[in-house]
Amino acid sequence: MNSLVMSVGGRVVQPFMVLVAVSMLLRGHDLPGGGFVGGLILASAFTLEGLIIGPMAMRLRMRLSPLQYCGVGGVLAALSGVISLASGKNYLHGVWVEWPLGPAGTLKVGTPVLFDLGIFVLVVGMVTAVMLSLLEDEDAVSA
Amino acid sequence: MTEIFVMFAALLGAGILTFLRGCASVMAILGSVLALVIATRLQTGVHSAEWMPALLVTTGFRVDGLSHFFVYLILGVGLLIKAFSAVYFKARQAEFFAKLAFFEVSMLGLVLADDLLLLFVFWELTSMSSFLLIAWDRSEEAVLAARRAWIITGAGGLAMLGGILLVRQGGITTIGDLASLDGLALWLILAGALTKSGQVPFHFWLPGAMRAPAPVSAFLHSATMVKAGIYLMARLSMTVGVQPVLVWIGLVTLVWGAVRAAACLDLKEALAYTTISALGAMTALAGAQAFPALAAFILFHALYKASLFLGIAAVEKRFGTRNVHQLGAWMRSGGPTAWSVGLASLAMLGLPIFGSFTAKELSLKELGSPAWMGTFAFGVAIMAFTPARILYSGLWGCESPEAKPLPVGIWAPPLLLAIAGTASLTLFSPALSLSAAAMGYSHTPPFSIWYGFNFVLAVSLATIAIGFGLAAWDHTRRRFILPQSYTERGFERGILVLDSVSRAVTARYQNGSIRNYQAYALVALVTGIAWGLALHPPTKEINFEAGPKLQIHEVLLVLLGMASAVGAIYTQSRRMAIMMLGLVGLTISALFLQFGAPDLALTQFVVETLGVLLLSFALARLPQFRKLTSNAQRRRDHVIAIACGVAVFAAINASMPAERESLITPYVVENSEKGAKAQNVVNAILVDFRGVDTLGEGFVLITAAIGATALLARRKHPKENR
Repeated sequence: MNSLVMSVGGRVVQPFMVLVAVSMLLRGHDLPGGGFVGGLILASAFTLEGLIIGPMAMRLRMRLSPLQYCGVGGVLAALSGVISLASGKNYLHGVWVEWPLGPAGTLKVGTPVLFDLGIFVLVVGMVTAVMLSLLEDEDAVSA
Repeated sequence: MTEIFVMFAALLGAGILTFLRGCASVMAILGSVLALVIATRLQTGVHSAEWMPALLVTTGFRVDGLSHFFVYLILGVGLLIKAFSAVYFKARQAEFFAKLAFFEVSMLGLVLADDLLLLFVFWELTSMSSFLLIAWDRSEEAVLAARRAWIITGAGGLAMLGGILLVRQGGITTIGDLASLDGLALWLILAGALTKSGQVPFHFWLPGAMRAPAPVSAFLHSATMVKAGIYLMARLSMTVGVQPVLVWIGLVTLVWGAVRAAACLDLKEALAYTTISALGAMTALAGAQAFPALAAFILFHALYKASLFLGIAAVEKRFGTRNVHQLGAWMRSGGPTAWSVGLASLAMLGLPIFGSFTAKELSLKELGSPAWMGTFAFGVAIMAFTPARILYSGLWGCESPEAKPLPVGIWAPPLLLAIAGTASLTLFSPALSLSAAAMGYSHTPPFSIWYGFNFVLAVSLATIAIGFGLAAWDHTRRRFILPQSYTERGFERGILVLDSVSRAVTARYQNGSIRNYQAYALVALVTGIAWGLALHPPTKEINFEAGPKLQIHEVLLVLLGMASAVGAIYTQSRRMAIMMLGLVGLTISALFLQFGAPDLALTQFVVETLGVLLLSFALARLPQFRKLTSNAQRRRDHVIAIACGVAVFAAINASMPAERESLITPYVVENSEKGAKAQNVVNAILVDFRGVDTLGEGFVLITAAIGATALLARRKHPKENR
C-alpha cells in the first residue's frame, strides 16, 4: 500500500504503540492491562508496519513466522506452570520472588509475568498470522 | 519407580541428544546400553505414585517376570536394531533415532504399566510412533499405509479405552486388582489387542506397515509392537480363562497368513505375512493358556524374525533385489549374510536344537484339543514353506546377481540375532520360566531342548517336511499365485464411501452461504436459551429501579450504539457498514468503562479496532455490494435477529441475580492481593486462579491462527493443494 501519509504517520505512532503494549503487559498485574491487551496492541503495530512495508517484507522482519510466535508463546505460558509444579505448588499457581530496591520500591517477579508474556507473544503471533495472510491475499488480488 | 523413569530418560535423552550433529547413532546406542544396565536393576513389585488423584489415575508400574522379559526383549533387540540402523540410514539419522527412542519408551511403558489408563496412554503412544515410522519416506503409498495402520490400531485403542472405562466403573483401576473380566469389557479390551496384533479380520494394516524401512519392520512390526496385543492377552489370560473364540481367531490368522506368505515372491512381504501368521499362533496360545509355549514362542519368534528382516535388508543391499526368483542361489556365495539368513530360516522352520523347536513342541503339546492341534500343525506346515523356499532357492536356484561387499554394521546384527536364536534355550530358560510364572503358570516349566521320540515330534517333523516338499514343488513349477488381498482394497473402498457420504451430508448443511450458517447458529442459540429459561423460569421480575440512576451521557451512548447498529444494517456501502459495526463496539466498550470494568473496556476497544482492520483487509476480496436475498428471506432474518436480541437480554437478566449472590467474587477479591499478589483482580483471575482456562484459550487461538493461515494460503496457491 503506497501512502505517504500512512508511512510517515505510522513511523510516528509505532514507537508509542510498542511502548504502550509493553507497559500494558508489565502493569497488567496491578492495573488494567495484561498480556492479552498488550499483545493485541503490539499486533496492531505489527499490522501497521505490514501495511507500510508490505506483508512479505514484514514476515522477513519478524524473523520467526507468526505461527512460530504462537508456538513460542504457548510454550512459555505452559512452562511457567511447570515452575510452579517444580516448587511444589499446583500447576500455574503463582510463584513470586521479591527484591527490595531501596528507595525505588520492590521489584517483584513471578511466574504470572512469564505466563502473561507467553500469552502476549501468542496473541501477537495469532493476530499477525491472520492479518499478514489477509494482506498477502489483497496483494494477490490487486496484482 | 525411579529406575523406570531413569530408563525412560536415558532413551529419550539419547533421542533428543541425537540432534547434535554427527553423533546420532553413538548417542542412541549409548542410551540403549544405559537403559539395559538400568533394566537389570529394576525391582520386582508394583511401583505407584499419584498422577491425577482426582480421577484415581496413578503412574502405577508393575515389574514382574513377564514385564521384565519384555523389557529385555525390547531393549536387547532395540540395541541391535540401532547398530544396524547406524549404517543402514545415510540421511535423517537423528530424526530416525529420535522417533525410535519415542517408540521404545512407549513400548517399555506399555509392558510396565499397571494402571489401566496408563497402559492405554502408552498403547496409543506406540500407535503414534508406529505411524511416524511407517510414513518414514513420505511417499504416497507409505502415507496411505501409515494412515491405514493408524485408523485400525487407533480404533482398536478406542475400543480398549471403552473396556477400561467399564472396568474402572467397577472400582478397579489396575491390572493387579483385576479379578474377573468378561462380557463387553473383555471383548472391548481384546478388540484393542486383536487390532494391534494384526489378527483376522484386522490383519491388513500390517503388510502395508512393512513399507517402513527394514529396521522398523524388524523392530516394530515383527519383534515388539505387534506383540503388545499378545502381551496384553498373556497378561489377562489367567483372569479370563480359556477362550475358544480367541483360539480360533488365532488359528484362522495363522493359516491365512501362512497361505498369503506362500504367494509372495518379495521376501520382505512374505516375512510380513508369516509375521501375521506367527501372531495368530501366539493369540491361539494365549487363548488356550499355553503359557510356557507362549513365552518361548514370543522370544524365539522375535529373534529369528528380526534377524530375517535385517538379513533380507542386507541381502537387498548386497544383491539389489528381494525377489526370491531374481536372487537365485545367492547363499552359495557364502558370507555372513548367508549364514545369518540360513540360520534364521532353519530356526523359523523349527529344526531340533533351535529354541523355536522347543516353542513348537510345547505349542503342539499344550493346545489341548485335537482340532486345535491339527489346525495349528496345518498352519505351521504352510508357514514352513517360506523359510524352506528361502533355503531351497538360495542354495539350488538359478544364477544370482553380482554381490556387493557389506559393512560390518549391516551383517553383524542379523547374525547375532540368528545366533541368539540357536541353541540358546539354556541361556533364556530362567527368564522364560519367570515370565510364564507371571502369566499364572504354577508348575515347573517344561523347557528342554529335546523331548524324545513321540507323536508330537512326528507332527513337528512332518510340518518341516511338508514345508520343504512345497518348496521343491514350487521350485519346479512356480505356480503359487494368489489374487491380491481383498480386505485391504475393501478397507480403502470403505474409506472412499465414508468420504462421499460425509461430503453428501456436509453439502446439505454446509451450503457455503454465511447467511445460512449464521441463521443456524443464532436459531440454535435462541432455542437453547428458550429451553433453559423454560426449564428454570426466572423467579425475579425485571426491576428497573434497583440499579443506579442512568446518566444522560450513558443514555446518549446507548442511543449512539443503537443508531449505528441500525445504520450498519441499512447502509449500501460495505465500508460504511464496517465503520458502523466498529462504532457499535466502541460504544459498548465505553459503557464497560462507565460501569467500572476498565480491563474489559480496554480489551474490547483494541479488539474492535483490530476487527475493523481485519474486515477492511478482507473487503478487497469480496464482490460488489449487491442485494442477493428475497424480501421473504430478509423478513426471516429480521425475525431471527430480533428473537436473538430478546433471548440474550432475557438470559442476561435471568443470570444477574445469581451473580450478585456469588460466592466466588468475595473469595477472589479477598485472595487476589495476598494469594496472587495482584491488585488487579481481573488479571489475577486470568493468570492465576483460572490460569489453565487462559492457557486453553491460548491454544484455541493458536489453532485458529493455524486454521486461518492454512485457509488463506490455500486460496493463494490453488495448484499446490496438498
